[in-house]
Amino acid sequence: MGREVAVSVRELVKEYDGTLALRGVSFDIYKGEVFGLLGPNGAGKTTLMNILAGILLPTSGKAEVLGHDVVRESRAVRALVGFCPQETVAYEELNAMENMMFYAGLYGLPRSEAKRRSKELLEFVRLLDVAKKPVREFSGGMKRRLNLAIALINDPEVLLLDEPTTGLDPRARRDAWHYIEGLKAEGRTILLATHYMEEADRLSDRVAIMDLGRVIALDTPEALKKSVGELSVIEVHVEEASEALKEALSALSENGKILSGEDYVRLYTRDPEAVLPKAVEATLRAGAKVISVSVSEPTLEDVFLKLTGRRLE
Amino acid sequence: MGLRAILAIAERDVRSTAKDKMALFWIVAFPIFMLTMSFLLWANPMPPVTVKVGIVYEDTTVNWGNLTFTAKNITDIMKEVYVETEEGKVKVFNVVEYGNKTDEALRDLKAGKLDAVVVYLDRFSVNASYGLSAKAEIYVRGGDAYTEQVTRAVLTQFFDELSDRIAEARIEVMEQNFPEDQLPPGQKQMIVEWMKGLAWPVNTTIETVTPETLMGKAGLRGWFTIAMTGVQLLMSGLAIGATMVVEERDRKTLRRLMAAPIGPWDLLLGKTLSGLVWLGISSLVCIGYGLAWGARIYWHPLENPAHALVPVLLLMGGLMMTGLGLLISMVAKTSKGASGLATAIGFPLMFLTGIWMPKWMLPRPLRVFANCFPLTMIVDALRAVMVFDAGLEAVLPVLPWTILATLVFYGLGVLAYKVVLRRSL
Repeated sequence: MGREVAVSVRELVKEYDGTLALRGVSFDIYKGEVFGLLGPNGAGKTTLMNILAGILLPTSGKAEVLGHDVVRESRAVRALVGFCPQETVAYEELNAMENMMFYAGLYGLPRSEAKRRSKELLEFVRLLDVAKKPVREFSGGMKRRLNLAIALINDPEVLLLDEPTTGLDPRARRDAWHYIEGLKAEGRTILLATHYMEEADRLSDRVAIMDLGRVIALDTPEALKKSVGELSVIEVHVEEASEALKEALSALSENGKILSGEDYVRLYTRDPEAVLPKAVEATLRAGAKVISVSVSEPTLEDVFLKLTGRRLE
Repeated sequence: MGLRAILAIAERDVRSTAKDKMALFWIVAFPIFMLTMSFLLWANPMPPVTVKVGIVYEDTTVNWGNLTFTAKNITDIMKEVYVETEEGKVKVFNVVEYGNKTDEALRDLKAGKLDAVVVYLDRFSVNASYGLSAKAEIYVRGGDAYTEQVTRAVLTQFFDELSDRIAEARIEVMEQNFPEDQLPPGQKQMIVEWMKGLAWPVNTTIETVTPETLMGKAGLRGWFTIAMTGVQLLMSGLAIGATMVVEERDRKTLRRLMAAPIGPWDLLLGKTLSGLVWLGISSLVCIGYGLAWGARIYWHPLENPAHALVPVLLLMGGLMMTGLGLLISMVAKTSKGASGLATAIGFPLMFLTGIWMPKWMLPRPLRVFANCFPLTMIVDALRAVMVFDAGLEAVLPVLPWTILATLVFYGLGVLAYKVVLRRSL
């Protein structure tokens, strides 16, 4: 028996003033799964989220959430979905409780139920102690937690999280992951848009990699990483990655592809034991000061590089 | 449409505004400040004018001892003429006597030290006492048309009155001295009447009648109180409409709002409701503050049905200006821009529509515009009802046009709102 589909997207196209933001996106999200949408800025993740949240109308194609068409039954879809955009949606002059009560009102919750649910959710995101404090006094991490609590006010079966950890420090990000894992454990269906490959890798059951309005790969994180091939990654950390260094290490990498930043270069090889000493030697020859060298398995970023030839930024 | 969602939006908006110091300034502090200034500076009845008069006696008979009526007597009367005002008695003439030095008095007149000079010509006193024509010359300072007119009017009225009294006294003396036994019956009365006809060929009386409610400070303060209510409807209404959508867009909450199961109408009605609540509060602040200063404001809806229409007029004014504000939001890119544009449009309208400045002070073409501007009609009707205690006759004639204008302005505002909302998502 096949798994039950919570969200179905078929050939979705969205055009803004002659620019195609989505170019025929199709996928299914199963009930209870965390579905990652990974892609750089401008890949079309937010546009897709907005269509599924019932905010935008698609130019063509079809999308259904829990069997409801997002265009024809937009209000029903919005009542079933919890939407957490990347911006702070709380009104900063109000306190957390007032914000929760306001959003509860938008979903038509009676006052007593709204109060009970708001308390529960503020407790869930560990904000009950500061429920009467104006949101403007909250840290970035606290505001994101409040965003999440607001997204849950209608007890949604499907949760749309649009880059929920963008701009957070590593600790606050790990904190947010903890809550998302908790929601997954409750059996909610979660669509998680992110440009952090580590986030998609850790939280998602399946990941759709998007680029320029298209889904260019869709599978479990493990399968996607395997698609890079039986390659290992040698990462050379240096003080400064010069062009000469990149050129030298590119010559040692499989197919000549490397991934580099200001202070590192990643190269790919089927034979790390043989290539590692050569890489160190080439680095020293290029005049770079080596900080560390490591061998690891490919990441989703490596998958994106393989598919597009560009870094995931 | 969901009532709970509309109320939630309105409640949130009211709470946010209550915590916004700048918004509270415009809604509460600004009308209080403006009314205080107006009450202190402008809501005072025009004070009576005191005319500074130089008196010259070229009259050589002025000091004759046996005369009944001399130029000096007139000067003494002049010194005792007062008008009653709310602040007490005010002297009409400030008299400076120059003896017989006409040149000196006229020099002071030319130097602007006097408003007028009265020269009693020779034999004035003896002629006045013995029933002949007593002559005097009056010089009035020119240059300032207003002062000249007032001085002329005051002196003319004084000497007319004086002349009347002298004529009356003379007729009385003659009446007493008629040899009644030498006249046919009834002839004496006929002669007296004929003499009165000679003295007053046209007998007119002039009375000044000021509308009761504008007489004095209380009425003027009432006028300004309603004017300020109109200004609040204009300025705050425009700002509320102009920032309705763009403010949510700037805060980045709009997408999240529209992801909830609400429609565009819920947002519009919730926001409009909150705007009307604040406009109502602002109107109450104006009226309450005016009453605290003793402004004459009538409000007895059970006795005067026109007073029951006051909330309807305020509601229409609020909706009308909110609609106009929504139209403004079409060209605004940010909330600050929308608010600035609303102020830039509202501020001149405040003066050009006769809401804050009386319409009679406007040039003719603007007066025509003001008479057609629907919010001016509403404010005029509010003034008629609340300051002049007028009845339905002041409201019913403007009701059809103002209802139509409200529907058109708010209707156009709704169309603009939908465009701005679509663009903002």
